[in-house]
Amino acid sequence: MDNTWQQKIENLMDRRADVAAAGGEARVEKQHAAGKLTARERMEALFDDGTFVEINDMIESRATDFGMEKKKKPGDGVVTGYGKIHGRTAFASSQDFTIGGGSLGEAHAKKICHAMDMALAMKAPFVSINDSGGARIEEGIDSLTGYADIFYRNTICSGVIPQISVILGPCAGGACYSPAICDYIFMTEKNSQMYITGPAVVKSVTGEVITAADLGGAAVHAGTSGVAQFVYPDDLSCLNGVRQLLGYFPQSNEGESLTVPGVPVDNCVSLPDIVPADSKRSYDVRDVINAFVDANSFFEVQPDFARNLVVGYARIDGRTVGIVANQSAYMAGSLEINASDKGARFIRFCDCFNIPILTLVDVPAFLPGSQQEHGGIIRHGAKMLFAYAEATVPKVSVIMRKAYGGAYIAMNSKGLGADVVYAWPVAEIAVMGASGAVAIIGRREIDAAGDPAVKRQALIDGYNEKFMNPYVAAAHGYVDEVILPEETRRKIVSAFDMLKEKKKALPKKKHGNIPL
Amino acid sequence: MELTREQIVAMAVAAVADAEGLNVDTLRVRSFREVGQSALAKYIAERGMQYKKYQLGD
Repeated sequence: MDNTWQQKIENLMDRRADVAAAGGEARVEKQHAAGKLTARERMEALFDDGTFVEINDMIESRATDFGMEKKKKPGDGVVTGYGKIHGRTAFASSQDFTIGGGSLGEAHAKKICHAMDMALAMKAPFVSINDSGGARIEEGIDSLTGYADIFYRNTICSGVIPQISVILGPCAGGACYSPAICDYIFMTEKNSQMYITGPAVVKSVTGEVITAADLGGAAVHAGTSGVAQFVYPDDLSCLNGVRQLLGYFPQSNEGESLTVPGVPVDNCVSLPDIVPADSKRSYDVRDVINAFVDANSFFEVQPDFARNLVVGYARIDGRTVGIVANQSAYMAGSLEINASDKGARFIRFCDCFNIPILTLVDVPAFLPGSQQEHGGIIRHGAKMLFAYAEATVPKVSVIMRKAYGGAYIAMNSKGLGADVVYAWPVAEIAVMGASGAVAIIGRREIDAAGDPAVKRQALIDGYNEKFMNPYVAAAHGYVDEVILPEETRRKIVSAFDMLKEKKKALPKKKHGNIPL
Repeated sequence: MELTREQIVAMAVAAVADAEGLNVDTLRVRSFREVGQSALAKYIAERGMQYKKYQLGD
């Protein structure tokens, strides 16, 4: 090898070392001291060992205002590239807080957009790891346009490739809108923050004093705002969670999820012990789910928000299903604003990515009250109905206990397009519960009776006898079969197997206008 | 007993030959470089962390 070659190679090795050094040893130490990994360490944790390929590592800012030409660093504060996750291609970006606080400028945004464009072209998932102080002020409107370019791509990619946002540091201001458009948001307990306006500006404008964690930390977004779906203790466990979630999804809307052999479970004989026949007694619906999905395969989504509705992914005979289930143990499993939003978003993701939906029904009502009405339960509840009706993936329901009124309709009823509806013998499918119904339709009889209490009870008993069962619905074709609890898994498996080749076309339109 | 660099390379060559079913006497090492521990591996080792990357089926 001649000298020129040697010099050029050494020059390249020096440049690579400069890139790898990121913001320098001191800043890397500071990142670690805060319990955070560096951008490249995060990529290594995300992708299968030895598969990550970095791209555009030497892209640089072209800005010169405010002395930027002296501050620029190769890579411009973000690491982008591709690799394998479970042997399948995925693309990612990982903001580098050690370089300029991970601030976003023109080149930084261009890198992310390039990786997103490739993900879309290759029909592969995109993961964006956020750890950034926000827009790079020195680059002015070029920074803002960079964000807009990213948001545009998030929107175009939505429903085509899975998009996951991982918040491993600050994510403030307009930057929050990229995660907001993505399908799922992961956060960590200590270091993640998301807010449109930070505590300092909140205080100066409104006088409210609040910490960053209380304003937009992980607990807030996982439990109160519903913005985030997953919270983990630290970067490593969080990125493992991303890997776990992606294992349930296909690469794109054109594919099917992987079949992952597991340990089939059929403890359905125990279901009558889990679910009391008395519909006033509660239970944890996750125990029902775990009685028939493959062992340890249920991955709950958004467990701390709208706990009255449980949603998540599981496998049955190795195949991914999305599960929507009323949670009897919380608010008696009633539907309300937050649960409707949670359910609708989950159903629509399943539909985007060809994931069949199993619905477990035990719902007394939409929660009444002025708070719900003034909060817009009409338009929020409509989201669930719209989502189920529009979904063309296989949809199977099991009505376990209560299924009353509008909430019964909303929980994937036959009329909304459910392909197969099963009901247990203790199911009660009716306009409303006996007490409420009798109070309305039996009012005159009760008022005229010699002993109203006795009359009322007799009417309730009669109503229960006639309507509080699955057989009226079965007789009218709204329930396909009344099944024994011990038959549940077998029936679900056979229904989804039958529906494997389901193809349903919707009327041609640009897109529907889901109530928002 | 600390191995010399040459001994380590010789062991590596023998391992590759064995894995590939080749005759080690016909192999010639043109170049080699030491691949250090990755930054993530160092981070985990320095802190004595228990970490296993999630694999499907876990």
